[in-house]
Amino acid sequence: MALKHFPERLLRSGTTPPPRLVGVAKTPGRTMSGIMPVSRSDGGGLWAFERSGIPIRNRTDEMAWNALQAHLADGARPIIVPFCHKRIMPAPIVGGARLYTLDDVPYDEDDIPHDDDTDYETEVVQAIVASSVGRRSPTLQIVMTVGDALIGGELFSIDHTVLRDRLYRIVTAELVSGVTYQCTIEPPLREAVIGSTPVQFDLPRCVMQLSGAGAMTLPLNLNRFGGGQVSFIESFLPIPD
Amino acid sequence: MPVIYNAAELVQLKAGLPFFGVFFRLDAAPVVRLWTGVGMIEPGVNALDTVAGASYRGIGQLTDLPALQQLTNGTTQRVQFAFSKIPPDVFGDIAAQLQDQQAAIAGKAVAVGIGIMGPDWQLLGPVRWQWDGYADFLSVELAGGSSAGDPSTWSLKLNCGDWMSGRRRAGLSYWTDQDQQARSPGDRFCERTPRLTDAKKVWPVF
Repeated sequence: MALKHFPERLLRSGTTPPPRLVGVAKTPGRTMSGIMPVSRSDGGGLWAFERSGIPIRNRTDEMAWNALQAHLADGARPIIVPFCHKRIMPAPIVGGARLYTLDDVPYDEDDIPHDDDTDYETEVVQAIVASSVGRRSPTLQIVMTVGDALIGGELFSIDHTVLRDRLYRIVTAELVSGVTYQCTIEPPLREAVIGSTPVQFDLPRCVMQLSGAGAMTLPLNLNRFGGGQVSFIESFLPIPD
Repeated sequence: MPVIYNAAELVQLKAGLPFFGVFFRLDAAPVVRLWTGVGMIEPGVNALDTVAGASYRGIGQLTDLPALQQLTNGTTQRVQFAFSKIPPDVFGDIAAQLQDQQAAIAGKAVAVGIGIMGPDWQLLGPVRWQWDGYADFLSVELAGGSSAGDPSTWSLKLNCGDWMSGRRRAGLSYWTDQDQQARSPGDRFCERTPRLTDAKKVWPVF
Protein backbone atom coordinates (compact mmCIF):
# COMPACT_ATOMS: atom_id res chain seq x y z
CA MET A 1 0.00 0.00 0.00
CA ALA A 2 1.62 3.25 -1.14
CA LEU A 3 2.01 6.22 1.18
CA LYS A 4 -1.20 8.27 1.23
CA HIS A 5 -1.57 12.04 1.37
CA PHE A 6 -3.72 13.74 4.01
CA PRO A 7 -6.13 16.05 2.15
CA GLU A 8 -5.15 19.67 2.62
CA ARG A 9 -8.79 20.79 2.73
CA LEU A 10 -9.30 18.68 5.89
CA LEU A 11 -6.59 20.70 7.66
CA ARG A 12 -8.17 24.13 7.22
CA SER A 13 -9.29 25.55 10.52
CA GLY A 14 -9.74 28.84 12.29
CA THR A 15 -6.69 28.39 14.49
CA THR A 16 -3.63 27.54 12.48
CA PRO A 17 -0.54 27.07 14.63
CA PRO A 18 2.47 26.39 12.40
CA PRO A 19 4.40 23.14 12.64
CA ARG A 20 7.00 23.20 15.38
CA LEU A 21 10.15 21.31 16.20
CA VAL A 22 9.96 19.45 19.48
CA GLY A 23 12.95 18.04 21.27
CA VAL A 24 13.95 16.30 24.45
CA ALA A 25 15.25 18.82 26.93
CA LYS A 26 16.92 17.90 30.19
CA THR A 27 17.54 20.16 33.13
CA PRO A 28 19.14 19.63 36.52
CA GLY A 29 16.55 21.99 37.98
CA ARG A 30 16.53 25.67 38.84
CA THR A 31 19.54 26.99 40.71
CA MET A 32 19.32 29.25 43.71
CA SER A 33 19.98 32.24 41.49
CA GLY A 34 16.97 31.32 39.34
CA ILE A 35 18.92 30.03 36.37
CA MET A 36 17.69 26.79 34.84
CA PRO A 37 20.30 25.22 32.56
CA VAL A 38 18.80 23.16 29.75
CA SER A 39 20.48 20.54 27.62
CA ARG A 40 19.17 18.72 24.57
CA SER A 41 20.20 15.35 23.23
CA ASP A 42 17.63 14.89 20.46
CA GLY A 43 19.84 15.81 17.52
CA GLY A 44 17.54 18.55 16.22
CA GLY A 45 14.05 17.44 17.20
CA LEU A 46 10.97 16.17 15.44
CA TRP A 47 8.19 18.08 13.68
CA ALA A 48 4.90 18.24 15.53
CA PHE A 49 1.69 19.64 14.06
CA GLU A 50 -1.78 20.13 15.51
CA ARG A 51 -5.06 21.38 14.13
CA SER A 52 -8.32 21.90 15.94
CA GLY A 53 -11.72 23.21 14.96
CA ILE A 54 -11.51 21.77 11.44
CA PRO A 55 -14.98 22.35 10.00
CA ILE A 56 -16.70 19.11 8.97
CA ARG A 57 -20.08 20.06 7.54
CA ASN A 58 -21.07 17.50 4.96
CA ARG A 59 -21.22 13.78 4.39
CA THR A 60 -18.22 13.72 2.05
CA ASP A 61 -15.91 15.33 4.56
CA GLU A 62 -17.11 13.20 7.43
CA MET A 63 -16.69 9.99 5.47
CA ALA A 64 -13.22 11.06 4.39
CA TRP A 65 -12.31 11.89 8.00
CA ASN A 66 -13.52 8.51 9.26
CA ALA A 67 -11.65 6.64 6.53
CA LEU A 68 -8.43 8.50 7.26
CA GLN A 69 -8.80 7.87 10.97
CA ALA A 70 -9.11 4.14 10.34
CA HIS A 71 -6.18 4.16 7.92
CA LEU A 72 -3.85 5.97 10.34
CA ALA A 73 -4.50 3.32 13.01
CA ASP A 74 -3.70 5.49 16.06
CA GLY A 75 -0.25 6.25 14.72
CA ALA A 76 0.80 2.83 13.45
CA ARG A 77 0.73 3.96 9.82
CA PRO A 78 2.49 7.02 8.36
CA ILE A 79 0.94 9.55 5.98
CA ILE A 80 2.19 12.58 4.05
CA VAL A 81 0.85 15.78 5.61
CA PRO A 82 0.84 19.06 3.63
CA PHE A 83 1.45 22.49 5.19
CA CYS A 84 -0.30 25.33 3.41
CA HIS A 85 0.96 28.74 4.56
CA LYS A 86 0.95 31.10 1.61
CA ARG A 87 2.19 34.11 3.58
CA ILE A 88 5.65 32.61 4.14
CA MET A 89 5.87 31.03 0.70
CA PRO A 90 8.50 32.92 -1.42
CA ALA A 91 5.92 33.59 -4.13
CA PRO A 92 7.13 35.69 -7.07
CA ILE A 93 5.81 39.20 -7.42
CA VAL A 94 3.98 39.65 -10.70
CA GLY A 95 2.38 42.96 -11.61
CA GLY A 96 2.93 44.31 -8.11
CA ALA A 97 1.18 41.41 -6.39
CA ARG A 98 2.33 38.04 -5.16
CA LEU A 99 1.38 35.16 -7.42
CA TYR A 100 0.34 32.21 -5.24
CA THR A 101 -1.28 29.86 -7.77
CA LEU A 102 -1.21 29.22 -11.48
CA ASP A 103 -4.22 28.19 -13.51
CA ASP A 104 -4.24 24.56 -14.53
CA VAL A 105 -3.68 23.87 -18.22
CA PRO A 106 -6.13 21.42 -19.83
CA TYR A 107 -4.88 18.38 -21.69
CA ASP A 108 -6.41 19.47 -24.95
CA GLU A 109 -6.80 22.86 -26.63
CA ASP A 110 -10.57 22.29 -26.48
CA ASP A 111 -10.43 22.43 -22.67
CA ILE A 112 -10.64 18.65 -22.39
CA PRO A 113 -8.95 17.27 -19.27
CA HIS A 114 -7.06 14.00 -18.90
CA ASP A 115 -8.95 10.73 -18.48
CA ASP A 116 -9.04 11.23 -14.69
CA ASP A 117 -10.54 14.74 -15.07
CA THR A 118 -7.29 16.48 -14.09
CA ASP A 119 -5.32 19.08 -16.02
CA TYR A 120 -1.65 19.89 -16.22
CA GLU A 121 -0.56 21.67 -13.08
CA THR A 122 2.72 23.07 -11.79
CA GLU A 123 4.12 24.79 -8.76
CA VAL A 124 4.52 28.53 -8.76
CA VAL A 125 7.92 28.53 -7.02
CA GLN A 126 10.55 26.55 -8.88
CA ALA A 127 13.67 25.79 -6.86
CA ILE A 128 16.37 23.12 -6.77
CA VAL A 129 19.32 22.12 -4.62
CA ALA A 130 22.48 23.63 -6.12
CA SER A 131 24.92 20.83 -5.26
CA SER A 132 25.04 17.52 -3.44
CA VAL A 133 24.96 17.66 0.35
CA GLY A 134 25.46 14.91 2.92
CA ARG A 135 23.10 13.68 5.60
CA ARG A 136 22.73 15.90 8.70
CA SER A 137 24.17 18.91 6.96
CA PRO A 138 22.89 22.14 8.54
CA THR A 139 23.48 24.15 5.37
CA LEU A 140 22.16 23.93 1.85
CA GLN A 141 22.48 25.97 -1.37
CA ILE A 142 19.15 26.58 -3.08
CA VAL A 143 18.71 27.93 -6.60
CA MET A 144 15.50 29.96 -6.85
CA THR A 145 14.75 29.57 -10.55
CA VAL A 146 11.29 31.14 -10.08
CA GLY A 147 10.36 32.83 -6.83
CA ASP A 148 11.03 35.71 -4.53
CA ALA A 149 14.27 36.21 -2.63
CA LEU A 150 14.82 34.03 0.42
CA ILE A 151 15.09 35.93 3.68
CA GLY A 152 14.81 33.21 6.34
CA GLY A 153 11.71 31.72 7.97
CA GLU A 154 10.44 29.93 4.86
CA LEU A 155 9.26 26.34 5.10
CA PHE A 156 10.18 23.87 2.38
CA SER A 157 10.31 20.14 1.87
CA ILE A 158 12.46 17.71 -0.07
CA ASP A 159 11.21 14.36 -1.34
CA HIS A 160 14.12 12.13 -0.31
CA THR A 161 14.84 8.77 -1.88
CA VAL A 162 14.37 6.67 1.26
CA LEU A 163 12.70 8.85 3.88
CA ARG A 164 10.37 10.54 1.35
CA ASP A 165 9.01 14.04 2.08
CA ARG A 166 10.73 15.82 4.99
CA LEU A 167 10.08 19.35 6.20
CA TYR A 168 12.76 21.98 6.84
CA ARG A 169 12.82 25.63 7.82
CA ILE A 170 15.30 28.20 6.56
CA VAL A 171 17.03 29.91 9.47
CA THR A 172 19.29 32.26 7.50
CA ALA A 173 19.63 32.89 3.78
CA GLU A 174 22.51 34.69 2.09
CA LEU A 175 22.63 35.47 -1.62
CA VAL A 176 25.73 33.85 -3.13
CA SER A 177 25.31 34.81 -6.77
CA GLY A 178 22.46 35.25 -9.23
CA VAL A 179 19.54 33.39 -7.66
CA THR A 180 21.57 30.96 -5.56
CA TYR A 181 21.25 31.26 -1.79
CA GLN A 182 23.39 29.74 0.95
CA CYS A 183 20.89 28.70 3.62
CA THR A 184 21.19 27.35 7.13
CA ILE A 185 18.29 25.07 7.90
CA GLU A 186 16.70 23.28 10.79
CA PRO A 187 16.55 20.43 11.45
CA PRO A 188 19.73 19.08 9.77
CA LEU A 189 19.07 17.20 6.54
CA ARG A 190 17.41 13.87 7.25
CA GLU A 191 19.04 12.27 4.22
CA ALA A 192 21.73 13.15 1.70
CA VAL A 193 20.53 15.00 -1.42
CA ILE A 194 22.11 15.29 -4.85
CA GLY A 195 22.32 18.45 -6.91
CA SER A 196 19.23 19.50 -8.89
CA THR A 197 16.85 17.82 -6.43
CA PRO A 198 13.58 19.82 -6.48
CA VAL A 199 12.77 21.89 -3.41
CA GLN A 200 9.06 22.25 -2.63
CA PHE A 201 7.97 25.70 -1.38
CA ASP A 202 4.35 25.87 -2.64
CA LEU A 203 2.98 23.11 -0.43
CA PRO A 204 5.71 21.67 1.81
CA ARG A 205 5.02 18.18 3.05
CA CYS A 206 6.28 15.78 5.70
CA VAL A 207 5.81 12.11 6.48
CA MET A 208 4.00 12.06 9.81
CA GLN A 209 1.97 9.79 12.03
CA LEU A 210 -0.71 10.42 14.62
CA SER A 211 0.90 11.33 17.93
CA GLY A 212 -0.98 8.55 19.72
CA ALA A 213 -4.29 6.90 20.39
CA GLY A 214 -7.07 9.47 20.38
CA ALA A 215 -5.01 12.01 18.42
CA MET A 216 -7.64 12.29 15.70
CA THR A 217 -11.19 12.96 16.90
CA LEU A 218 -14.39 14.40 15.50
CA PRO A 219 -16.88 15.47 18.16
CA LEU A 220 -20.20 16.14 16.38
CA ASN A 221 -23.07 18.39 17.41
CA LEU A 222 -26.49 16.96 16.62
CA ASN A 223 -24.66 14.31 14.61
CA ARG A 224 -24.15 16.86 11.83
CA PHE A 225 -21.60 19.56 12.54
CA GLY A 226 -18.28 19.20 14.17
CA GLY A 227 -14.76 20.50 14.58
CA GLY A 228 -12.18 17.86 13.89
CA GLN A 229 -9.00 17.72 15.92
CA VAL A 230 -5.79 16.03 14.83
CA SER A 231 -2.26 15.89 16.19
CA PHE A 232 0.69 14.65 14.15
CA ILE A 233 4.34 13.95 14.85
CA GLU A 234 7.09 13.30 12.33
CA SER A 235 7.30 9.62 11.50
CA PHE A 236 10.26 7.32 11.01
CA LEU A 237 8.15 4.21 10.65
CA PRO A 238 9.08 1.99 7.70
CA ILE A 239 7.73 3.55 4.49
CA PRO A 240 5.32 1.20 2.69
CA ASP A 241 6.17 0.35 -0.91
CA MET B 1 44.94 8.19 29.00
CA PRO B 2 43.46 11.67 29.57
CA VAL B 3 40.64 12.89 27.36
CA ILE B 4 41.66 15.90 25.30
CA TYR B 5 38.88 18.17 24.11
CA ASN B 6 39.35 20.56 21.22
CA ALA B 7 38.69 24.29 21.50
CA ALA B 8 35.14 24.11 20.11
CA GLU B 9 34.20 21.34 22.54
CA LEU B 10 35.66 23.28 25.46
CA VAL B 11 33.44 26.24 24.55
CA GLN B 12 30.35 24.04 24.69
CA LEU B 13 31.43 22.37 27.92
CA LYS B 14 31.95 25.78 29.50
CA ALA B 15 28.45 26.77 28.34
CA GLY B 16 26.95 23.82 30.19
CA LEU B 17 26.83 21.37 27.28
CA PRO B 18 23.51 22.56 25.80
CA PHE B 19 23.68 20.20 22.79
CA PHE B 20 24.99 16.68 22.92
CA GLY B 21 24.25 13.17 21.77
CA VAL B 22 24.45 9.94 23.75
CA PHE B 23 25.76 6.92 21.82
CA PHE B 24 25.27 3.23 22.58
CA ARG B 25 27.42 0.47 21.06
CA LEU B 26 27.06 -3.30 21.43
CA ASP B 27 29.98 -5.26 20.00
CA ALA B 28 27.92 -8.12 18.55
CA ALA B 29 27.95 -9.43 14.98
CA PRO B 30 26.92 -7.14 13.37
CA VAL B 31 27.70 -4.27 15.72
CA VAL B 32 24.57 -2.53 17.11
CA ARG B 33 24.97 1.23 17.08
CA LEU B 34 22.27 3.55 18.47
CA TRP B 35 22.04 7.14 19.58
CA THR B 36 19.47 9.34 21.29
CA GLY B 37 18.98 11.82 18.43
CA VAL B 38 16.70 11.81 15.40
CA GLY B 39 17.65 9.84 12.29
CA MET B 40 20.99 8.38 11.34
CA ILE B 41 24.37 9.90 12.10
CA GLU B 42 27.94 9.02 11.13
CA PRO B 43 30.11 10.30 13.99
CA GLY B 44 33.41 9.31 12.35
CA VAL B 45 36.42 7.54 13.81
CA ASN B 46 36.69 7.08 17.56
CA ALA B 47 38.32 4.70 20.03
CA LEU B 48 35.89 1.87 19.20
CA ASP B 49 34.91 2.65 15.59
CA THR B 50 38.36 2.70 14.05
CA VAL B 51 37.05 2.83 10.49
CA ALA B 52 35.06 5.83 9.27
CA GLY B 53 31.52 5.41 8.02
CA ALA B 54 29.90 3.65 10.97
CA SER B 55 26.25 4.74 11.22
CA TYR B 56 24.26 5.12 14.42
CA ARG B 57 20.50 4.72 14.32
CA GLY B 58 18.34 7.11 16.26
CA ILE B 59 14.91 7.96 17.56
CA GLY B 60 12.60 5.35 18.93
CA GLN B 61 15.18 2.60 19.18
CA LEU B 62 16.96 3.39 22.44
CA THR B 63 14.14 4.43 24.75
CA ASP B 64 15.86 4.68 28.11
CA LEU B 65 19.35 5.03 29.48
CA PRO B 66 20.15 4.19 33.09
CA ALA B 67 22.24 6.36 35.39
CA LEU B 68 25.82 5.25 34.84
CA GLN B 69 28.51 5.54 37.46
CA GLN B 70 32.25 5.90 37.25
CA LEU B 71 33.36 2.78 39.13
CA THR B 72 36.41 2.87 41.33
CA ASN B 73 37.92 0.81 44.15
CA GLY B 74 36.35 -2.43 43.05
CA THR B 75 32.76 -1.20 43.00
CA THR B 76 30.47 -2.72 40.47
CA GLN B 77 27.21 -1.82 38.76
CA ARG B 78 24.46 -3.62 36.93
CA VAL B 79 22.33 -1.52 34.60
CA GLN B 80 19.43 -2.01 32.25
CA PHE B 81 19.03 -0.41 28.81
CA ALA B 82 15.55 -0.20 27.32
CA PHE B 83 14.82 -0.51 23.61
CA SER B 84 11.66 -0.29 21.61
CA LYS B 85 10.10 -3.69 20.90
CA ILE B 86 8.05 -2.22 18.07
CA PRO B 87 9.37 -3.52 14.74
CA PRO B 88 11.93 -3.12 13.21
CA ASP B 89 13.65 -5.15 15.91
CA VAL B 90 16.71 -3.42 17.38
CA PHE B 91 18.70 -6.66 17.32
CA GLY B 92 16.99 -7.99 14.21
CA ASP B 93 20.23 -7.95 12.20
CA ILE B 94 21.89 -10.27 14.73
CA ALA B 95 19.18 -12.94 14.75
CA ALA B 96 15.46 -13.22 14.08
CA GLN B 97 14.36 -14.95 17.27
CA LEU B 98 14.82 -13.62 20.78
CA GLN B 99 16.55 -16.77 22.05
CA ASP B 100 19.09 -16.60 19.22
CA GLN B 101 19.67 -12.91 19.94
CA GLN B 102 20.27 -13.81 23.59
CA ALA B 103 22.88 -16.40 22.66
CA ALA B 104 24.65 -14.01 20.31
CA ILE B 105 24.64 -11.03 22.67
CA ALA B 106 25.62 -12.61 26.01
CA GLY B 107 29.07 -11.52 27.11
CA LYS B 108 29.55 -8.99 24.33
CA ALA B 109 31.07 -5.59 25.14
CA VAL B 110 28.71 -2.64 25.65
CA ALA B 111 29.85 0.98 25.59
CA VAL B 112 28.06 4.28 26.20
CA GLY B 113 29.56 7.57 25.10
CA ILE B 114 28.87 11.24 24.57
CA GLY B 115 29.33 13.39 21.48
CA ILE B 116 29.52 17.15 22.03
CA MET B 117 27.54 19.10 19.44
CA GLY B 118 27.29 22.71 18.43
CA PRO B 119 24.11 24.81 18.09
CA ASP B 120 23.69 23.50 14.54
CA TRP B 121 23.68 19.90 15.83
CA GLN B 122 27.02 19.06 14.26
CA LEU B 123 29.50 16.96 16.20
CA LEU B 124 32.50 19.02 17.27
CA GLY B 125 34.72 16.05 18.01
CA PRO B 126 34.74 12.26 18.21
CA VAL B 127 32.45 10.26 20.44
CA ARG B 128 34.01 9.98 23.90
CA TRP B 129 33.20 6.61 25.46
CA GLN B 130 32.35 7.08 29.13
CA TRP B 131 31.16 3.66 30.31
CA ASP B 132 31.82 0.10 29.25
CA GLY B 133 30.41 -3.20 30.40
CA TYR B 134 29.21 -6.56 29.15
CA ALA B 135 25.78 -7.67 27.96
CA ASP B 136 24.12 -10.27 30.10
CA PHE B 137 20.52 -11.15 29.27
CA LEU B 138 17.50 -9.82 27.40
CA SER B 139 14.00 -9.48 28.75
CA VAL B 140 10.75 -8.29 27.21
CA GLU B 141 8.35 -6.08 29.12
CA LEU B 142 4.78 -5.13 28.27
CA ALA B 143 3.36 -2.51 30.61
CA GLY B 144 0.22 -0.41 30.76
CA GLY B 145 -2.50 -0.60 28.15
CA SER B 146 -5.37 -0.70 30.60
CA SER B 147 -7.73 1.12 28.22
CA ALA B 148 -8.11 2.05 24.56
CA GLY B 149 -6.73 5.52 25.17
CA ASP B 150 -3.79 4.25 27.18
CA PRO B 151 -1.38 2.45 24.84
CA SER B 152 0.86 -0.13 26.42
CA THR B 153 4.63 0.17 26.42
CA TRP B 154 6.39 -2.74 24.77
CA SER B 155 10.08 -2.67 25.47
CA LEU B 156 13.12 -4.90 25.24
CA LYS B 157 15.48 -4.64 28.20
CA LEU B 158 19.19 -5.45 27.98
CA ASN B 159 20.77 -6.17 31.34
CA CYS B 160 24.46 -5.40 31.54
CA GLY B 161 27.18 -5.55 34.11
CA ASP B 162 30.72 -4.35 34.29
CA TRP B 163 33.77 -6.59 34.47
CA MET B 164 33.57 -6.87 38.27
CA SER B 165 29.90 -7.93 38.36
CA GLY B 166 30.53 -11.63 38.66
CA ARG B 167 33.40 -11.69 41.09
CA ARG B 168 31.37 -13.14 43.96
CA ARG B 169 29.23 -15.36 41.82
CA ALA B 170 31.28 -16.62 38.95
CA GLY B 171 29.44 -17.12 35.71
CA LEU B 172 29.34 -20.73 34.66
CA SER B 173 30.54 -21.79 31.26
CA TYR B 174 30.44 -25.25 29.80
CA TRP B 175 32.42 -27.32 27.39
CA THR B 176 29.48 -27.55 25.01
CA ASP B 177 29.74 -26.70 21.35
CA GLN B 178 27.27 -23.81 21.79
CA ASP B 179 29.33 -22.18 24.53
CA GLN B 180 32.55 -22.72 22.62
CA GLN B 181 31.05 -21.11 19.51
CA ALA B 182 30.09 -18.10 21.63
CA ARG B 183 33.62 -17.88 23.01
CA SER B 184 35.40 -18.58 19.76
CA PRO B 185 33.19 -18.70 16.65
CA GLY B 186 34.19 -21.44 14.24
CA ASP B 187 36.20 -23.44 16.79
CA ARG B 188 35.20 -27.12 16.59
CA PHE B 189 37.06 -28.20 19.74
CA CYS B 190 33.91 -29.02 21.73
CA GLU B 191 31.95 -30.42 18.83
CA ARG B 192 32.00 -34.00 20.11
CA THR B 193 31.76 -33.49 23.86
CA PRO B 194 28.23 -35.06 23.97
CA ARG B 195 29.85 -38.34 22.97
CA LEU B 196 31.93 -38.27 26.18
CA THR B 197 28.93 -38.06 28.52
CA ASP B 198 29.01 -41.70 29.58
CA ALA B 199 32.62 -42.34 28.73
CA LYS B 200 34.92 -43.54 31.45
CA LYS B 201 38.55 -42.68 31.06
CA VAL B 202 40.93 -44.90 32.98
CA TRP B 203 44.19 -43.30 33.92
CA PRO B 204 46.91 -45.39 32.30
CA VAL B 205 49.37 -47.32 34.41
CA PHE B 206 52.85 -47.02 33.04
